[in-house]
Amino acid sequence: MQTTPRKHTSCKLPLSLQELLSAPICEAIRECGAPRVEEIRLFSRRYATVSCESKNYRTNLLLDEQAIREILLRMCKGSLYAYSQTIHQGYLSLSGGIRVGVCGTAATEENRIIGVSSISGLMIRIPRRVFADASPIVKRLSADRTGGMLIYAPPTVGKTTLLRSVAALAASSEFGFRTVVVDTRSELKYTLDDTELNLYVLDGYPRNVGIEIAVRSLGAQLVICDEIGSDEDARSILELANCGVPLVASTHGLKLDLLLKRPAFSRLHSAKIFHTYVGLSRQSDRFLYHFTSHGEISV
Amino acid sequence: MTLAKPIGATILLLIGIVLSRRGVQAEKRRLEVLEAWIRLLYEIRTQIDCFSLPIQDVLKDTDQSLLALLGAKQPPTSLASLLQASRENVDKECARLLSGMVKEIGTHSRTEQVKRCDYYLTQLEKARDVRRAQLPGRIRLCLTLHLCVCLGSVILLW
Repeated sequence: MQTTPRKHTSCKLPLSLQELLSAPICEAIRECGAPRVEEIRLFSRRYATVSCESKNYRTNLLLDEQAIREILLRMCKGSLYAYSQTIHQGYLSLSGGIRVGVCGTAATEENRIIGVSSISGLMIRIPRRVFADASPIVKRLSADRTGGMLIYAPPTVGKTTLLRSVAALAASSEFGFRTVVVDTRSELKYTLDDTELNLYVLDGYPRNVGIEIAVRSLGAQLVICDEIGSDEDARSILELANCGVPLVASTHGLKLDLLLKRPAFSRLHSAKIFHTYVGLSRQSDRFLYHFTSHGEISV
Repeated sequence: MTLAKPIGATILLLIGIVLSRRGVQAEKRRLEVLEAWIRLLYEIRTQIDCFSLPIQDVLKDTDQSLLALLGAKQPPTSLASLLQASRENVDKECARLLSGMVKEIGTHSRTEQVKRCDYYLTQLEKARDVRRAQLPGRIRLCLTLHLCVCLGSVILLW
């Protein structure tokens, strides 16, 4: 399998991704028949597939472990050590908001992953440029400047896209929040490069550390972070509850009542960290919001 | 006596002087390039140790005059291309060490990477010290050899 990367201009992939994948891979993706490429699943010794709107299209591409490893090394700019932390957590963030899931053989010590060898697969997720109208959310934040918001939805609905829009609008001159984005997985920072925004991005910072820095050192009036859910997240959010800085966060969840039964969220709900819960759904490219205020819930 | 012999002898001696100068410059250049590689490896080690910066980004931020010393005509995207550019100014032993280093950089964890940088730095610095100590002798050899060959040719052909 030849894996020397070359630009393949007829491939419907972002240019940055075409440069990472070889011409035969781009060719195979182009020929699989998918109307659009949302996800690319590369396997070692299994046919690669392309996903579009929940349908899977099989390609004629059969890669070996060496080829997968070479692709991963190119994605890491020739330096696995620079990305070992995120690879241990199972992902890689590329430019343009492209997310790569990494699968392999884990070496563990005391229940902690210390290394990943024999990379057996990569799942490349290509973001779609979808506009999320964040004005209903930011207007509520503006009306209640101490109240945080939790956005919940199942995976791939668009929580990250929505958070980016919230950050951009809240930090704009229209609403004027001094905003800090704790971008643990380096996914939120894309499209936040407008020179008019009053915004800091803590890129790659662990959530608990980033939230503390945002409030204590960066004078945040609004903190935004993605995918909270662990007890550790809950602990650091509760510690900063007294600072009066609202937090807008997202989490995986289908139903609010089930979400609030989870210990971390039960504690956050009791402490009234989030004044509003926002259920997110999508109808093609339109974002739909279901607002529930704290007072409406009894847990 | 025609002028051909003195002119020919002068030309031969001039050739000898030029060749010996070039030989001396080549010897000094080899040492310079080796020292530049050592400086670059220190820079790489620091950036990996402090910031876990990918190699491509380290090369982008490295002083361009240092990379030019190593023969890079434009900003290199990899250490392999940089090694290729400086190959004619690196002796066999150093080329072997540098090839090994280039293969290993980027493929290990940060801690292991720093250790390997330390190993290659030690080996390269040893090679540099040997070369530095040998330099005066090599320069003398270069000068003597070329000039003597040219002088000998003049005498034989006179």
